Amino acid sequence: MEAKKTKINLKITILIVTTILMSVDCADIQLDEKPSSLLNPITFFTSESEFEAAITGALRPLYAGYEGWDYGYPLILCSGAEDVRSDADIFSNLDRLNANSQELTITVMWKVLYQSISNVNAIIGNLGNARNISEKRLGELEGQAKFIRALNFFFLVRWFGEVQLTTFENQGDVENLPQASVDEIYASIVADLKDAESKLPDIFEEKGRPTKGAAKALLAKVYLTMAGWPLKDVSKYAEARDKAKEIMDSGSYTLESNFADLWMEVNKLTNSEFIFAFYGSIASDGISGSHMHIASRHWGNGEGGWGDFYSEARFFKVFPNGPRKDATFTSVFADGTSWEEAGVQPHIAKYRDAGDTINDDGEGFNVVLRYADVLLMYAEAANMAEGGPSQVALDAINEVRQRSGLSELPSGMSQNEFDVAVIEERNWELAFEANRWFDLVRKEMVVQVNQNIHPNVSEHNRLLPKPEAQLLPGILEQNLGY
Amino acid sequence: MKTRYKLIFCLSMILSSFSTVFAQQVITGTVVNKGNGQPLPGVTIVVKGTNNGTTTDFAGNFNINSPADGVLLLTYIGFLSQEVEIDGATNLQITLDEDVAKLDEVVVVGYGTIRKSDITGAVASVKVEELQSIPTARADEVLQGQVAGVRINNNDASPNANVSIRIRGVSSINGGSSPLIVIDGVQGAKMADVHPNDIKSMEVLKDASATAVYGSRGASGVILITTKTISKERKPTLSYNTYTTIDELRRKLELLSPGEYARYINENRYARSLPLVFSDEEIARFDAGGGTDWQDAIFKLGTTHNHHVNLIGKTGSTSYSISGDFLETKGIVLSSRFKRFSVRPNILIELNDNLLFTLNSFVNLSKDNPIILDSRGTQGSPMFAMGRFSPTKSIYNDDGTYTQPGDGAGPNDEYNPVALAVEPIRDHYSNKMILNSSVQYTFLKGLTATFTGSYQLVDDEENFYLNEKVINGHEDDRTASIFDSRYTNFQNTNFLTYEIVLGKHDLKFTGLYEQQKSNFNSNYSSSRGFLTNAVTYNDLSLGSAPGIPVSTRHEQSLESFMGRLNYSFDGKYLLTFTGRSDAASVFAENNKRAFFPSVAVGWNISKEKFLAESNTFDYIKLKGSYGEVGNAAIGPYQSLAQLVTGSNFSFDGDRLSNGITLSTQAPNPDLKWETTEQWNVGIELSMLKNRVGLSANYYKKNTTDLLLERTLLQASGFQTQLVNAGEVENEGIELLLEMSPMRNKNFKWDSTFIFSNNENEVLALNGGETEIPLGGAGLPGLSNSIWLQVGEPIGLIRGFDYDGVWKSDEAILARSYGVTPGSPKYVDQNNDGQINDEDIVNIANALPDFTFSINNTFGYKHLDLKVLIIGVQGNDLYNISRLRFEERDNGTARSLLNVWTSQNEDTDIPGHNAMGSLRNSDRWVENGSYVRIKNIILGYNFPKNISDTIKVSSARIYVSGSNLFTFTNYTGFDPELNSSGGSDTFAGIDLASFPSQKRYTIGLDIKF
Repeated sequence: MEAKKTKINLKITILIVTTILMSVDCADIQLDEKPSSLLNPITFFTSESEFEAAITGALRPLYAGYEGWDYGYPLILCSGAEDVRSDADIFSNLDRLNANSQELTITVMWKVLYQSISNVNAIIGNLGNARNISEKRLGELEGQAKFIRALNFFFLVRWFGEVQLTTFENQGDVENLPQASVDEIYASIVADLKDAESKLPDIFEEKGRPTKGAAKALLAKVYLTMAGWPLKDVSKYAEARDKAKEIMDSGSYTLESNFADLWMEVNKLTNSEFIFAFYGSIASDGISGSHMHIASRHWGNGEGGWGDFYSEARFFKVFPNGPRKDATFTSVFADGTSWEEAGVQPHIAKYRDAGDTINDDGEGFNVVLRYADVLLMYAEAANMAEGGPSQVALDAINEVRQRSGLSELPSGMSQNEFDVAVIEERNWELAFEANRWFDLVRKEMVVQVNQNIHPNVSEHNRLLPKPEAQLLPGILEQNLGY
Repeated sequence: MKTRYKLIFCLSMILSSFSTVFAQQVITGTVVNKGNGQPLPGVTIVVKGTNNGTTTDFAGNFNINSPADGVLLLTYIGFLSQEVEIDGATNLQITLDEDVAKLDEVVVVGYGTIRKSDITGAVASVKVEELQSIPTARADEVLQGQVAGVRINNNDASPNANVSIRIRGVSSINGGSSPLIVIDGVQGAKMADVHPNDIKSMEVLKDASATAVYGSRGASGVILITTKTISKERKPTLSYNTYTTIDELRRKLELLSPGEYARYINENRYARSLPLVFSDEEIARFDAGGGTDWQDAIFKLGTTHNHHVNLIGKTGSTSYSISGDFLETKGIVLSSRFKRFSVRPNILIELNDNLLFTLNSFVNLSKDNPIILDSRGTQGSPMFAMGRFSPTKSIYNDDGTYTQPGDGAGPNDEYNPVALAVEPIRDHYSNKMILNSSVQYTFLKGLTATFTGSYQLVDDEENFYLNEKVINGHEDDRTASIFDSRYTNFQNTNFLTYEIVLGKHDLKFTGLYEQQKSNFNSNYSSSRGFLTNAVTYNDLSLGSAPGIPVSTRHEQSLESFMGRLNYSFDGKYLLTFTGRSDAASVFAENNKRAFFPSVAVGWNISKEKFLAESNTFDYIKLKGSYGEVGNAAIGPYQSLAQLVTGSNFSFDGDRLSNGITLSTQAPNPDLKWETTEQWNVGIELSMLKNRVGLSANYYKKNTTDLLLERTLLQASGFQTQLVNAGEVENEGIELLLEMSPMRNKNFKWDSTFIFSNNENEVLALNGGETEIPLGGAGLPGLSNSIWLQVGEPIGLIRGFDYDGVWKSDEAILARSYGVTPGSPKYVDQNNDGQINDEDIVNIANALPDFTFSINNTFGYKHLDLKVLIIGVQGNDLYNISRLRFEERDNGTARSLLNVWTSQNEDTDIPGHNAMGSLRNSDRWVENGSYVRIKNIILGYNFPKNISDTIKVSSARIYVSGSNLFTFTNYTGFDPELNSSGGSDTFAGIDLASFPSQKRYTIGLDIKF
């Protein structure tokens, strides 16, 4: 009896002890988190494909979620110029040069530009951790990253002036990073682009990647901008001219013979003119689709768009007739009604064709740099650098005019006459491509062009207000006039 | 994979360890009233330290299995409970002393039980019979109106409804305020899965003293459910409960008839100088019965069937309860349907005097065919489309296809409601399993150890297929997706209780070590462009354009220690200390471990001499508590630096490249739990021979370190950081009044009145912020509707103050605001001559001022009648669906007939050319208060001679009606609806959710 009881007690003890041990062991708790499905930014950037994915990711903020070039915000921020107009409540203040520091579009563009920058900074800052990547490939990655960074800062400095110049090292402490001068920002852009130019190849298999030509074209544009307001460093005209000439001499790009073909989706990868562009895709239910086609189309008259933004009668009326005008505007809608009959503004045609679509997503594109721009930059820069239009400069602008069905400019124009003609030509040729506003700003024409329509316009309008929520005294200050 | 096998192995080892069965002995006896020597029927007898129990029969006799040296615990309502040592005897004569205070029932508190008289915290024991009398097969829904301080809200009324539970208000902004549900000790199980008939007891822990034992998971209260295991009878008892319900749309919205609509649209277009859409002949045809009443088209009668079987009994030392449950609801919206099958086998084995083994298991299989409620467009809500799609259209075209939007009638982006209800296939399968085994060992008298291991598995599958028929499209428009997820949770709970009585000092100590580990993984795949509709979502390879697959895996761990001391002096003065220390993997690296203490005191005044002789009061207790509890609602890895996948981009306008971006949420190495400090004072009393019982509590809860998103400077690349900041306060009163106004041989009347009031206030936000916009109301163009503001409650809605319509004689003033007569007029709060953001004011609050319920039970001979009335008062609803239903050129609301014209000035409905209607304004705010006769149940218990004839031990048949009468001014489907799926910050938004029903039930309860 006693022995049996002991035996039972022993059994029980064993049972309890094993139960506890098993239970405790089964739980296998881990209080330090080791995520099995999440990537760690500290250890991620090493292999070639990891850096590739990061480059892709750095462009994503600029083309996603109706917040970047997939949609109309960049155009809306340039809508103080004559070409673009919007009457939508959330856009119209910019069109009327009455923007405040809480405009949704401004807040969003600021956000996506810095998001892209912070991602590129992470790439550049981690290049030292690269493993098993050839020097050439690493250079191509660095070149793309620096082009993207330069592009972002170029938009920031032109829209907002003095902003924080972030790098991998300082972006964790932006509360203590005072805004940089415009000079410093341009110096950084130029340095990045020169580096990119030296490292990027002439061509990538995928047309949407920035190439050596793209770096040169952007650099030309940067120099041209530095020559105007606010830096007014006229020595940059010669550098802009030289950079543009390098592209012209390279033979890599030519004007597409038919202007209308440029805006057809089927030609987007094959045309000879695009230097750098964003391309929408409908793959995977259109998660990186374009929306410009639907946003810029009229909502009525069988067009089925959103009518979020369009052009203006004042711009349409002065625009020189010809095939270029026909391909630039939608002046007759799908049901045959003209814009005047429909009682609306003429609409933008350049984004109409988005190829295949799924829901509101398409395979459209937004061209950022193209060869016609380079020719006109050359014409402008050479004229300004050389005291008057050379034959090469004249040829450059006339090549563009010829395609548009316009008469060639005569030789013997004065420097000023020629300059006015080039700026005007840029207005027609690059309409709705986020060009005119920046031309107005650097050529100090914002007030002159707008005073009759928007009497409230003043010189402070050359810069947009910085987003209210981003201001920090002594670090990021609001632009004058806001 | 490896871990899962390991778990299964561990469990099977635990289960198989107990093969030895220890001998028991049958004890018989009689229980009599000490005062008069009469036998006492229905006395509960439990072998102490076990769940083994029985009740005395009519003659006061009992028999029970017990070890020869066991102790019997006898409890009986109205009598003092008593412990009897068996000491080898096989036949016992026991006498019980009457106790007017009847308070020695044992109540489940977390990790153990306590005598009701010793409770110091705010713990409400739910009357389980009440829940079981309501013909509803889910434990959360039936709790409505049953407990003071607990608000149950049916956020939608679909077959698998989203029901939210809030105990003592809303204490968190982003962390969620749902209580912790503990079923047989298993934390985090779902209450909706529990059939009320399976419940043995349910306790609601409300104050910090009661919930602090659950530490970082206790801040929103705890609901403890114990399912049936123990049979009181040796004989197996089989019960069968069934009911059938017919559900009918409670209330139709007032919408235009086809003829009215056609005339209205023509009038509208005429006023806007647009060509008319409908000819006189067409209108005549509509008046003659053409067109469609879309409400009649998408709503039908719904049905619910429930069968519940339970077998409970005892064989030797083994008690068992096995339940099976089948539920099927066909909803009132076409094609909505929910089916559930579950089994719950529970066994309890007394291995010997000291050792008890239990195994509670649960398997639940369900299939839900939900209706989408929260989106619009081609895959949108049929209820929303119903108020927008033109009533002039038929359901089908002549060729059998669905009618489409457009042709000048109705908006272009709202689709055929019938197509939206019928065509999308949404098959949601959920398989759940819980295995929960526990060993209880009593080392010596008063010292008991309990070890529990439980494993939960939730395996979900959400399948979707949409053909081209909704939009009359083609193959490219066919889409399908499959979302699979699996959640597992392992919980190991070990606790030791030691109770010792030293003279008048009664001490009970509980010590706990607990670990929990959960894993979640999911994957999503999709495709579109299916070449055939034949196999729907079942073969994604038939799609031509696959989407990017997505998968994820999370795990989290929690390790806890808990100690509790219950002290009582002479049964009069009570003191409880608890402390729980939780270490959670989700807490950031600098704050891994949290500690939550509480203290409570109680005073049984009725045991004092000066009240002992009272003839009025049977029992009075005062109690007070203070404690801190937490809310650890941080998602896994939220404190860490992360990269985000799926940031894809195309470099060639065709193929997507895989992209990785930095997370826009900054890491926070200090991230921790939300802490709620709570004070509670309460009184419990019963008087007039227990005819009247009152329980009242006052509480104040302050929650600090709220999980809030701090906005960062965007130049950093980050948008936000999750931080601990801010404070929310909840303060309230709970009242429970129980009365038995009448109780005689033939007639019985019990009445319960419950009142709860809760005042919620945001006391602080992040840093010095005084307000935060949380987002729009769910329609495009209505941004910043929902706010948090210091000094205001959660659930705040802002907008313009709607002041009716500009009249013709106000044309000049209207023009100064840029509008014309007939346009909505908003109050220019600052009189600056323009209506802009500065004129936006607080217009609504979604939280109620108070809720109440009145529950009356009448019994007359074999009849019983229950009437439950519930009420919610003082909350606002933002009936934003009206903004669309009353849209001047596309709406179908009947109120549009009262549209402003220069001949109809006296109206609040703006004119055909109105400007500025699309705004947040109190035009859409309605009073959400209601009083509802929730249930009327009339039952008939067959008399014994009949039940004997049909060879059953008891039988009851009943009819019931739910939601038959609702008193409210609310114009939407139902004042309970919440289109934000139970969100507290976005509560009160109604976008035409799944409508509520009047339910007519007939049911039968049989016991064999």
